[in-house]
Amino acid sequence: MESVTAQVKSRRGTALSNLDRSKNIVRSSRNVAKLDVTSQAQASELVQFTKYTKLLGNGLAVIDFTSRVGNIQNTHRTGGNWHRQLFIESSGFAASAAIGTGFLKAGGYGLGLLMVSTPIGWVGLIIGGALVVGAAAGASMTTNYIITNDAGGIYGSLMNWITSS
Amino acid sequence: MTERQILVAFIILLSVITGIFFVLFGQITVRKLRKNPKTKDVLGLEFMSGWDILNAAQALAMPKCWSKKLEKSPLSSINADSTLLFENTNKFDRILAAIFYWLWMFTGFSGAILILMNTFGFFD
Repeated sequence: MESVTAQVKSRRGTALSNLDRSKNIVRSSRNVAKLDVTSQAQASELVQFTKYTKLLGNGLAVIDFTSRVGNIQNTHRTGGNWHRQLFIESSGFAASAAIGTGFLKAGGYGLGLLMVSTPIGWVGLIIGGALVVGAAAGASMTTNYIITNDAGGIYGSLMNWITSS
Repeated sequence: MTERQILVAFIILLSVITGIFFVLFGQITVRKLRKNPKTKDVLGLEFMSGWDILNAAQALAMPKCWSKKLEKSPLSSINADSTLLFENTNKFDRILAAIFYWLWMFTGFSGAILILMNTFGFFD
């Protein structure tokens, strides 16, 4: 090893003679998509973050569900057709959940591919993630809007069809 | 019924069927995987309760080369490990996963088309 590194005049040494040097070279490599979780602290922060997202996800589902149940109850209380409202709210929930999660999962896959093929780092990942979540939320809410608008009519046709046959 | 109502009724039906398959796949396959010490830690990140069901379905239903591509990424831990899942499931689980996953993606895709058509005024 001495004879190999003898010509190298660099004060920092080579990857072979200086362990720090080799670690630095690996750390700053420019051709690998790097997203380094270098320390224990960062790793536990990531875990913490996922706990928050889980809490947030469940919380949103609970809020959404509560408001839907509230709508049904209000319809019942004001003497409206609460069966119809139940149909509207549950179909809106099912469809917007399916479509929102579908968007999220597909977007996540796209983001994953982007990370493999391009050297995007933390910032790109956060921006991309925010875009995906935004698109998913938008799609989910728009679906809910369209479906709650139309489900009443569908319920009417369905009931007509059942009673007439 | 108007044209949009027909499309909406179709999407409602699709989402209800997707929901049924979600529960079936979760109860039959993912419950087994959660209990298996070999697979219980590779089901991917849970953004909300039950998200691991979606991760597992994706890992089992996607063509293997697609999942492999994703697992090269530094963030592979948010997805389920397809190699381990394939080793610990039987054919029935995979068929169930494929039906659920593609039905779900098809529902999402139809929803996107509905939104696009509505935005560009196809139904006016």
